Amino acid sequence: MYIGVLGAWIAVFLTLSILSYLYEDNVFYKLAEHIFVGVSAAHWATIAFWNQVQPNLFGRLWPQAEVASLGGFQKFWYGIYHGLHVLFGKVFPEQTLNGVLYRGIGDQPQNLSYLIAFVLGVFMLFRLIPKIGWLSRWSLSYVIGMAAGLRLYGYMSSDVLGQIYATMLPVWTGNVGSSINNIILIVGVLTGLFYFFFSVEHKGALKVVSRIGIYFLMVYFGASFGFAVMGRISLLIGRFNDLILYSGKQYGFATPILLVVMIVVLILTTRKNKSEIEEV
Amino acid sequence: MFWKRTIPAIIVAAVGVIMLLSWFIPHAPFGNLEIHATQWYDIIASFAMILGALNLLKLQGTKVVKRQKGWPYSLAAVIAFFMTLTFGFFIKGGYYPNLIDVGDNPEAVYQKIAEVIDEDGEVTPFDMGEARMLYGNPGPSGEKINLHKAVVSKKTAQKIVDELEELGATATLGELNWGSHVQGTGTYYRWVFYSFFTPLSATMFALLAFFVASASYRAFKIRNAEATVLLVSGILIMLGRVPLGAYLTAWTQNISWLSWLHLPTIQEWLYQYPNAAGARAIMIGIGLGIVGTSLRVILGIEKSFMGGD
Amino acid sequence: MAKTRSKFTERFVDFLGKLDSLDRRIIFLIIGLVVLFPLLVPLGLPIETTQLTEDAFYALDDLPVNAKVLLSFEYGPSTKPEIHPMAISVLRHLFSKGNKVIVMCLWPDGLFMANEALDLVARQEFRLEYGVDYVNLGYRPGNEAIIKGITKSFKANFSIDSKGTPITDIPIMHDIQTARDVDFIFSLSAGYPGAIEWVLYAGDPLQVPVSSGNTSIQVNQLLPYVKSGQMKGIVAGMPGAAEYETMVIRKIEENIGVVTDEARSLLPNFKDRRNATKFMDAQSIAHLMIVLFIILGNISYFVKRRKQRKY
Repeated sequence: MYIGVLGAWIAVFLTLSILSYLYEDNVFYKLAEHIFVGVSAAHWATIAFWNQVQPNLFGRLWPQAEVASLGGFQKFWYGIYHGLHVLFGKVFPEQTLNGVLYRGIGDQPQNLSYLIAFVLGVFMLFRLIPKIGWLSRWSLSYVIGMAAGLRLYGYMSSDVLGQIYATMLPVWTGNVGSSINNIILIVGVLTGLFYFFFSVEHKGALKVVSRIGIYFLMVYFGASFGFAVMGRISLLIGRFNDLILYSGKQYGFATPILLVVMIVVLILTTRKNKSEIEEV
Repeated sequence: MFWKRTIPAIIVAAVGVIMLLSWFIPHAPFGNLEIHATQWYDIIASFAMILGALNLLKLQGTKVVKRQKGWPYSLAAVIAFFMTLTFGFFIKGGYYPNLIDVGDNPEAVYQKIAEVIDEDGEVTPFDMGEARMLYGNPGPSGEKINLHKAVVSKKTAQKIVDELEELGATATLGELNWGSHVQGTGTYYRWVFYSFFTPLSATMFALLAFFVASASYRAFKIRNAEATVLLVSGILIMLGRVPLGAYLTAWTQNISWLSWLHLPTIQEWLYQYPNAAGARAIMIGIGLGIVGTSLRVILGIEKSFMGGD
Repeated sequence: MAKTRSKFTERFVDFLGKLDSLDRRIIFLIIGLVVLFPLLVPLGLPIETTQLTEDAFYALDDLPVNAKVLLSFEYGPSTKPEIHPMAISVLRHLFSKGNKVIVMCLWPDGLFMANEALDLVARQEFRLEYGVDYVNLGYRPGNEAIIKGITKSFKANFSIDSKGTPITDIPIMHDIQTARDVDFIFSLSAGYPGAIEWVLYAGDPLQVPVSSGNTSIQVNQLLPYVKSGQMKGIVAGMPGAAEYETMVIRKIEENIGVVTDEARSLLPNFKDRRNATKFMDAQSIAHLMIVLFIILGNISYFVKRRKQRKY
């Protein structure tokens, strides 16, 4: 993605600033960290507004309609829209096509029950005001109720029953290799589950079962560690690749110049701090 | 108490039960209720994101106003926040020349387009080829052509339109609508995304690679049998999944009784059988935990999400 | 001579014992150099494909011509190096056999990634027609609620696409009412929401085949779904992306299955632009370095422990 020379310099500066944390916590890192916090908060809010609130909420309260054909309650309702258009024209657009004036957003069927969603959304924002912040509990309750209802069935079906069903494997398949593999799977799942079963004391034969379970879990954790390393190295490769790209002439040698400048500044700062500590 | 605790409990129970029943009863009213209930969830989730942004502004802004420790950094956060908001809501960019017809002098027009879309300051035969391919035939559905420039102001776009018209092409000034500007090319918002957000978020994650290496060196000690199993499993996965592991043990493929020593083979077996068994045990355990917690929430036994009074 | 050797050995053993408290910045520097060097001087290590990647590849390859695949982008710039090459390879694979692609995003950043990938593959490489051969429905917040929603109605959740066009006006969506009407769901996923949610809320209930390309970190969590058949293979991290790139090129080179003329003409392009493959050298050396660090750390630990036991 072409971002111009200025964009490249900014990208390199921010990347090197974050990486400078590896030397020690410093001004560059703190600055980049705070910029990240500001940009990402605004970014998520902006995306959420333009992709959901405007088209899906306002679009259902005020779908696009021909002004001349409105009557009764709709005339009043779209009058409110016009007032909002005067205040926030970008969010509540009006347009004239072939001499006909249209007000509204998109072509979803109108559904005024979405006013409830709007109210719950606004209640969520009240969290910022201590006196009426408790109203956000209603919105939160809605979100949590939805999530609980969605997940209960989903996880029971796919994670519990689905996996138990998949563990019911034939002990003898006609082939020694695949039979051993199936036995390993069955034994591993049962002993691994048993390790977390605390209603019975793990002693004697049960202790042996539990210890076998631990070994299977250790294999899983070791593999997870291996994959975690793989993932992080992959991301580092991506960053280095971008730094190499931005070290070229067309980007004004951004990487080498900024790298040298930052190293010099960090060394000077470290020396200054050291001499200040020695003085004290 | 009624408004602060009882009503939320009723909402949780009602919504939870409706969502549960909708898995089993797809017909009206549950089917339709469920469609709109999920939409309301999306909308409230969006407001939650807006709340997060405002909360951040409140915290960082307070630090700046009260000149608390580290306030210059908080000022940087606030400036970055408003910069992003400005390009999200006030200054859009997203103007582009809409090429309707290349006219009687197509090569000159393609040359002009190639100059505009070129990214490295030099118009090459590749750029010319791309110009001909992409802009020679505006899409049959009338798809508007948006030139690949990082930031396109109205003035720059109008200048390009005028130049194309001078060369005999038919072009008009196009503009991305508010709303689609957050994902369209040629907008200031997209420039901020790629110049600020992308390098910052990617590097934050990439930083962990160094700490993983350091942690491996310091903490990964063979203190007992379990730690040994964990270590061996990690090493086999790390070496077996990359080309180097296959390359180092490629010689074992030529000796049939040693072929099982091929690192990718060992790694694949470990991954698909002992590791899969452990993963499945963990998944079943977590699944049961989620089912239990969801039930507790719906039945009103779990109320910690409401916080204190 | 024996005394000198034992003095040297003693010093070496002392040095190994002190390695335990090595300044971590030296480790950071070594890792940085070890990752950087192969990027500048490629080694060209050959890529060997693994079964799970092959399963995912053939699951898509077996789809009939004109099958519609729902491709969901759930990653952002932070995980782009791992997943973006997969996205590009999967798109090349699908378009090279005449499949149609419906793109949607459950992450806001996924939208930018989707636009980039489609711009490169659909627009520049294959020169396909938007709305007929592919469509980008855009991003919707709501996580699994969106997935659940599209199992009932696409239109209710995606009334317009990412360009603002009503989906009723988009030809590729004319016979797609719900997620049940797509032939395959492929999730490019870096976390939540992602492949797990697709399996739980769409794949399992609707019995639509699901596969996914994931970050390495997420892969192990998804393995039980793959083993139980709830997911058709998995493309695991950057190594998986490199394997998928290799398989796409091999398919076109050896003319396996359905291969369009357009794909054959683009083959040199595909070979040149193999982002995941060219990074695997750096990945390999970095892994080897970390394994050596672990071994060195343990040697140092044992030497130190032995010394402590002596005294």
